[in-house]
Amino acid sequence: MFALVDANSFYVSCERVFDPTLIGMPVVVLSNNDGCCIALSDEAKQLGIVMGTPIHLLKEQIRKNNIQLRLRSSNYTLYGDMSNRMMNLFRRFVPCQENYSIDEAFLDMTGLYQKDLLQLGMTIRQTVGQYLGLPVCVGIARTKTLAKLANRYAKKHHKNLGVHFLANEALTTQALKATPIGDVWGIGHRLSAKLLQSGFATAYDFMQNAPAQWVRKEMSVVGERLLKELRGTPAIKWDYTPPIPQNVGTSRSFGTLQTSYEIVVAAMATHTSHCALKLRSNKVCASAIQVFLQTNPYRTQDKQYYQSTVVELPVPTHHTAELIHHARIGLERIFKKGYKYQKVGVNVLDLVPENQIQYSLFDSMDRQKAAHMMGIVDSINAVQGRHTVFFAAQGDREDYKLRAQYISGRYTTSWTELPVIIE
Amino acid sequence: MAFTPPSRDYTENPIDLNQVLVADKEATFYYRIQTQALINALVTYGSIAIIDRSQTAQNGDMVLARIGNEEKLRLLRKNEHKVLLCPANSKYKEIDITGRQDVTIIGVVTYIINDKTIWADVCTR
Repeated sequence: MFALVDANSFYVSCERVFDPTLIGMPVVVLSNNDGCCIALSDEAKQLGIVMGTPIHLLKEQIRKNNIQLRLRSSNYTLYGDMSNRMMNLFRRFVPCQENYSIDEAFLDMTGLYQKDLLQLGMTIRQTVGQYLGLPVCVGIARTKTLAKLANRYAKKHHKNLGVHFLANEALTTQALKATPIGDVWGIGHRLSAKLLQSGFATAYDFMQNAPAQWVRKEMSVVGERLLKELRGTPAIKWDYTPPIPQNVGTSRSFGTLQTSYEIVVAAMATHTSHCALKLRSNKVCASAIQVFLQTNPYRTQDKQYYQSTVVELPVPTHHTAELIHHARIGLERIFKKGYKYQKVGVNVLDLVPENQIQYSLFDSMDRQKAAHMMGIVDSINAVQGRHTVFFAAQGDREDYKLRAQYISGRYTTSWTELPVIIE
Repeated sequence: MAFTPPSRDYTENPIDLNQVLVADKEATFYYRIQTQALINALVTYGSIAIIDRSQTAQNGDMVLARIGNEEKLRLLRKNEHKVLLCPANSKYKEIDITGRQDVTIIGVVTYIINDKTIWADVCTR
């Protein structure tokens, strides 16, 4: 048996834990750089606001309709810490879990001492609610796909209980019948349209009526796996440890459009330094680095430019200075004067574990010393904050820093930004 | 061969405040206090409260309570008839929360941290 636990409106819920005036209010969380809506509370949904709405339209709605919409810039430091706490709490209930995204995890409930799984689901929900203040829903069933489906059913039909367990045939059938085919895990827009056309309106229709041959022909191995999962035989593998990422990238829009090479190169150096940190914490090195640069395609009045390039590294590395040096070579190749740039980004490519690197015979760098230096930089930044020690190439962050006008505090990770009890 | 000092057998890790101050890492949050409501319970304006949300509040505990959409720090006092949220300062009133649906006890205050700036204003007589 498997459970899928996820937090309701996770970003909004995190904000509400530390700002009770947001409870019961329509709340919208904005994307990086305050561009558009990426998360919204039920109350905001009821106002007709949808994901992706740009901020100027939100502001217009607030003004025109005089609604009390509350805005928040995304605060990933806070969401990340709350997510870690939540995932750690799950560990107290089950021996194995797969942290599937920032706000959801699959829990393996096979062979537990606790036999009443519905009760276990309710305990998990109660614990996360009390300990962290986050509302979660739990779906329990025989496969991952059915657990997802049960979770969705709990959200739609048992909002107050928040837990649904497909404990037997009848309950499973009922949930399958209540799930439109497009809402089944792994079925995208195009596939959903095709299945609807073929007469499968619900998950139940598909499971009951789709001929095996047709599924194999039209949906290949994905369809066969789905059919198995819906019929209660686990067919999707478990990922207890996330695999080594093959690429790591960082790119951000500038707070305002930029024309100067100095500022673009400084922002690029900062992105590179983030990538390098990610590499080091995953104990992998990059063999190449890709740099890209673009103008804002929505500003049709501006001249448009997009270009990217890949720079091969002499020896795979995760050393910040070395990566910045090569990224800069790439940027010099593609940077052109006279454009208003919106975004610069870097991707580090072809990652290899740090202990499997072939050193070059002609390598002139003292790699041990360099690694030692980066270790010291990382430990200082881990304790004192991300930008305490940085490379001079990163320049003055104020020039290109993100807009985050409505950001809340780093309530759980910074002594200077604790929530305040005022009276 | 170098001499092994006998003290090595007695080596222990140095004191870690987390061992005492944090019973449940996941459920512990820190708040800055800016109220005089609990001054007689030795909670000064500007101190830091360590709040454990995993604990169920008992009679006599100091708690963080949510009343409507306001948060207050108070002492929880219960008897057979009533549940009260009490201040420790005569300028504040106690709040009767018996049977109230709009009140939630968020967590229990387990420790209060003061820094040295606090002593400056203390009456020494």
